[in-house]
Amino acid sequence: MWNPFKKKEPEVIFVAPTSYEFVPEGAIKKPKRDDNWRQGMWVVCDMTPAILHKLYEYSGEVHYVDPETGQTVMEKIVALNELRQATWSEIPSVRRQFDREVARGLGYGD
Amino acid sequence: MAISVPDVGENLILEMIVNKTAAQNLVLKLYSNNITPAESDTAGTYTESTFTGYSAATLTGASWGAASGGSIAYAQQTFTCSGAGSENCYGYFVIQTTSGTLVYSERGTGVPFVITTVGDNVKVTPTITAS
Repeated sequence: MWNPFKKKEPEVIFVAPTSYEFVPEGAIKKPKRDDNWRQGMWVVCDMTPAILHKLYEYSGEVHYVDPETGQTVMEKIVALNELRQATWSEIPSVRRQFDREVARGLGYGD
Repeated sequence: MAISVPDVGENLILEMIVNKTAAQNLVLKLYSNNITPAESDTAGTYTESTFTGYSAATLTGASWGAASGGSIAYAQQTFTCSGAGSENCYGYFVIQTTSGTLVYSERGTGVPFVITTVGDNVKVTPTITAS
């Protein structure tokens, strides 16, 4: 007989496995541009160190980096004219894994 | 997202082209720290995943497909979780097996992918395109 006050049986929740796939788009290429912007470049945006992660025609996706941990804290799309290349000392030391001479050759001044 | 080749990787590739440095098998690893690849990176930048069931994948030279149209690819690699837990996956990085030098890396889109359940998996099809 149906009893509306009967305690409901606990539901068993099955968590299905999930999957993440990196879609191959990999390319060893730097966008051909007239300027010096390039993917993976250290920049300064809003006075914060960031990495230029994606390049579009007039804008870029920058990933702000925590200076202490070197990890990403925020992502934002900004106009390229809001960016400038970082100097050597502006690259978080925890991520500064090339020497000063090499950095200078890549445009990271003092 | 395109792969990112750091300065150390670019130099290594140049030295391999002219036979100054011998090529080695590559090792594909997932990483769990929130890193956006930068040209200043080395292998030490990345924290390798440790979830249950995870092990890095060696990409044997002879098992790569033939290069065609400026591109070369390897069979899809699947990293599957075999024990419950919780770990973030942000991307993968590829190093040389002996030298340990970082060759390239890629951060996923919409990461982190959180690995919690038995059967959760991450698939990577190593592909390199020169253009």
